[in-house]
Amino acid sequence: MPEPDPPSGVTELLRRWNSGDREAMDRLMPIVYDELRRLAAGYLKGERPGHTLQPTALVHEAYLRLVRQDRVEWQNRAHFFGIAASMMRRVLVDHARRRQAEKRDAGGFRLTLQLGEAFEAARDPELLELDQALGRLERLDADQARVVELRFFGGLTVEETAVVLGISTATVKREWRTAKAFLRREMASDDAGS
Amino acid sequence: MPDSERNPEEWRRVKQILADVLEQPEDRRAGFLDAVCAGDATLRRRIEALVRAEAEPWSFVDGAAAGSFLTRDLSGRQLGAYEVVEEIGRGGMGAVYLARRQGDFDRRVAIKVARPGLADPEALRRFLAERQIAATLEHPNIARLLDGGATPEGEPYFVMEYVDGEPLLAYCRDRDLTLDERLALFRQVCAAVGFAHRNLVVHRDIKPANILVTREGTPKLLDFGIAKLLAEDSGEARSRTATMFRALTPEYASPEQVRGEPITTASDVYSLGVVLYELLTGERPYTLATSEHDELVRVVCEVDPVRPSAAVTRSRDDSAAAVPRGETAGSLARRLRGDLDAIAMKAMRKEPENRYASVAELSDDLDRFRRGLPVAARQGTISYRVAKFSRRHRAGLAATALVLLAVCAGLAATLREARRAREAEARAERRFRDVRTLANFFLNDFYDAIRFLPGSTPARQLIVQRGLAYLDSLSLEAGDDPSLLRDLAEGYQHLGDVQGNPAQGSSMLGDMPGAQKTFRRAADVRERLAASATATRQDRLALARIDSLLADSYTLDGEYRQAIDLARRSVGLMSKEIEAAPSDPEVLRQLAHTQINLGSALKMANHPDEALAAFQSALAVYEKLFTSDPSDIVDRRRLFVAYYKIGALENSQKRYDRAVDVFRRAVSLAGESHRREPGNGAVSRDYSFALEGLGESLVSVGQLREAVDILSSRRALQQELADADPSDANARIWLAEGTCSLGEARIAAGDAAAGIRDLQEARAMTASLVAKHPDDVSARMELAHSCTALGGATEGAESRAWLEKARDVYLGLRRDGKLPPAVEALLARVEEQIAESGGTR
Repeated sequence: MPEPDPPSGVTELLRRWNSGDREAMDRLMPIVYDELRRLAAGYLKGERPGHTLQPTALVHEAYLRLVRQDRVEWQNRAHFFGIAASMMRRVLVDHARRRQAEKRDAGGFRLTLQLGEAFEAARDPELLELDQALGRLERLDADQARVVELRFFGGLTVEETAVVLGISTATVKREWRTAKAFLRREMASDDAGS
Repeated sequence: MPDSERNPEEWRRVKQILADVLEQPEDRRAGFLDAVCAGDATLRRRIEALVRAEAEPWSFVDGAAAGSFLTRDLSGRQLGAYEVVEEIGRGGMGAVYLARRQGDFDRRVAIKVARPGLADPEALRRFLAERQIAATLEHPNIARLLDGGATPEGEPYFVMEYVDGEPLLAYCRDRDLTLDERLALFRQVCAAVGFAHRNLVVHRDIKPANILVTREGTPKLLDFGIAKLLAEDSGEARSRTATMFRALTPEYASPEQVRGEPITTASDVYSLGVVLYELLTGERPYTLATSEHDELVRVVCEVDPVRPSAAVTRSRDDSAAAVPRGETAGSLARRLRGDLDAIAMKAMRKEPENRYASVAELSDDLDRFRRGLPVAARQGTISYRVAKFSRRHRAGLAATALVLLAVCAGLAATLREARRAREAEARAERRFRDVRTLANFFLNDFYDAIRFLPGSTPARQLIVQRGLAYLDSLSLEAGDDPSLLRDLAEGYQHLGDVQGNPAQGSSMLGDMPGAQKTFRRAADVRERLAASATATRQDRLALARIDSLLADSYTLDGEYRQAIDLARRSVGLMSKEIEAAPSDPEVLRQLAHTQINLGSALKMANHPDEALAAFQSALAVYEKLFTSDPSDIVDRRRLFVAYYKIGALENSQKRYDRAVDVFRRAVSLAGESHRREPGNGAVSRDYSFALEGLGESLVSVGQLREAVDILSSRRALQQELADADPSDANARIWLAEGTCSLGEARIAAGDAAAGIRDLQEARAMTASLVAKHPDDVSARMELAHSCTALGGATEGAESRAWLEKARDVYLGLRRDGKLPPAVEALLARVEEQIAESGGTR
């Protein structure tokens, strides 16, 4: 399917950001966000049949599309993936919230959903709870929450997360494991409470 | 929420315990918890709840994290015409399975399933549709690619000929092959790669794990053509992303690969070189301590590997197992020395154009070695080493940059003519901007790249000359265009840095007057920008920054009044911006930095209390920043600078005890940085300054033995720095100073003979420096200092002669208006001492 070219200012913004112009990042973020959102919508609407939730693919695709042109070196790739992963989270959570709202308004699954999306829609409550629990973790340990974001929303492997954050794989594993314990506990007690 | 952590500290504690408990085997956890919780029942309950939570399966999270695609097991599944039997391997890119063709159970294949997102669905679809599989390589040493597809979950897979064999290095070890047998195997591998290259296929991922050797001794290369697919098509960006993650085994990746640049057959030559290296020595040429990407880029692109023969001798004890049959470590080193060394190193050159032009050439050279004929790799080695002044891989860049700058300067002139014609004006304008952007890239980014290397000064001198010419021509065209003006200002600033920015702390050309002139040009442009109607906050801050920089430069040059005025103006500008945006840490940093500059100028202008106040304001900011992120290198350095300045001030005010305390802190900060970056010239310089401060303070409080130790270390460090960059004038001044200080300390500690020797060495050094750079104020002051010290260490007529010499130098400085007020006191003391010894005025 024909895709529009990425915005022409992106390369320039990337270059500026690379040279230390922090304002460029502010202008870049909405562009990246839009890109991710568009892609996510495409995936979740089942435009790519057979694909389930694939954060990796989305983030990678966004990255490739935005950096397609010439020789731009991302000085700090960690920033991009950190940001993309956070955006991914926002995108998915927003999407889930909207669908929940539609479901309530429409009084159940009256809307016809593609197969892929129905699968995703069933996951919505869990995704929203996870987002909340992750928010709590963020307040206690921002670095650890970052690991979760990169792994779950950015879809990075343990090795990739280690590379991006500049820490050891052993640390990533420990952080991931203890984070899961925390999140699970939080989500379970939420269930019990509600 | 029942029993949750309320604050970060609490969570951190719980997390630590939790992580430790999870690492225990299940039957030991209870006991472990007993010990750790020590009766705290609430804590224990909490930990147990978390452990329980972790143990529950959670497909939602585990499934969605891409890790799941790695741990997913396809055994028993159907993939196209094949049935998956079992998993035989797993890596960063995906998993490899053994599979059988349906209906033909003897036909075994290997299926590599890659994670989604790594392959472009379009390219894969095209690949399958156009049946490019048929065009894949057929060669006895290449594992054939048979088929491909995608799973319903969207993972691309590749069906390959199944190779029952051992990876290359393990094979050589297990069968205990001789050196010649290993080389023979390697040449078969070369044949395969050469064949592929002739068919226009680059492997891109050659490593020992991708070379399997069958029971019959036939090496087979895996994954040919797959790397291409996974990194192919529209744009280099794709290969960069894939490459970035493939750089998880970066020891075999070529510099261009690791930097994300286009891959050519030369990249394969490089990787083969690394494999050869390992085959010969049992070790890899690079060890990467961290998996941090920037570190790995640096090591692969900049660090030269040790020659194979040297590597073997070095690890005599450890790699006994890797030594081929029939050799000892010693005999192996002998065989490797010379030809094989040269061959391996030539294949692994950083610049592709310096490697073997083809795999066939590499193989031929190995054959020549085998037959005892002279090898091509050893020709031209000397000229290769001679190109040493810019780090090898920089030479090409420097040349290109210069050519480009020259072109730009010429082009700017040509374009000026073209602009007269109205039709061409729009076109020229656009081209002009492109040229500008391109030139800026080289001017700025290249400079950033070479900034921290000691030993790159001649390259910088050339850049500076050309760069100035270019910028001056640009300034004629700039008019009122703010973006052009900004680029212009930045360009001037970068050039000024190279000429001699004291704040940079890196090797300077020692051209202070030149740097100042350039910075003033930058400041003029910045003033225009800040005053114009389209001024942004950035413009004002940039003006504040350049004022601060100029202030610093003036200080070093002895123009204290101007320095103080500029620094104060800068502080004023920044304080206003802070009011507007109080939470911007960058502006706070800038302000603190300017306070440091202001303090320096105030100190030199003999206002020590005001200076101390300024330093302490800066210190407060830096302490806060450093505490919130102790890993930030820049903040650590700034904190260090603040401590250092305060220490120096306390010293000059004779509050030596305080100085010692402060300098100890500075030494610990700088020492830490030096430990982390031993090759970084700027960091070494800082450390040496800190050691100086501590050393001299220790002398002043009478702790002489420790002082001598500290100052010796410092001198050794300074010697290293001076040796690293023979054209760095400042490094030599500092070495002289360090030698002088050490000498004085030794004398004070009772070792007069050694001390005087040091002083004489210092004096000789400074004398020759002053002869070479008569304008350099620091050099002259240092000469005076060493003469004064000699005067103090000797007696009678000799002493007087030295003191008179010192006085003459000081007077000369005063005549030139370059004698800092703080140094007047030293001159006065010298004159006193001359008078005391009965000398003439």
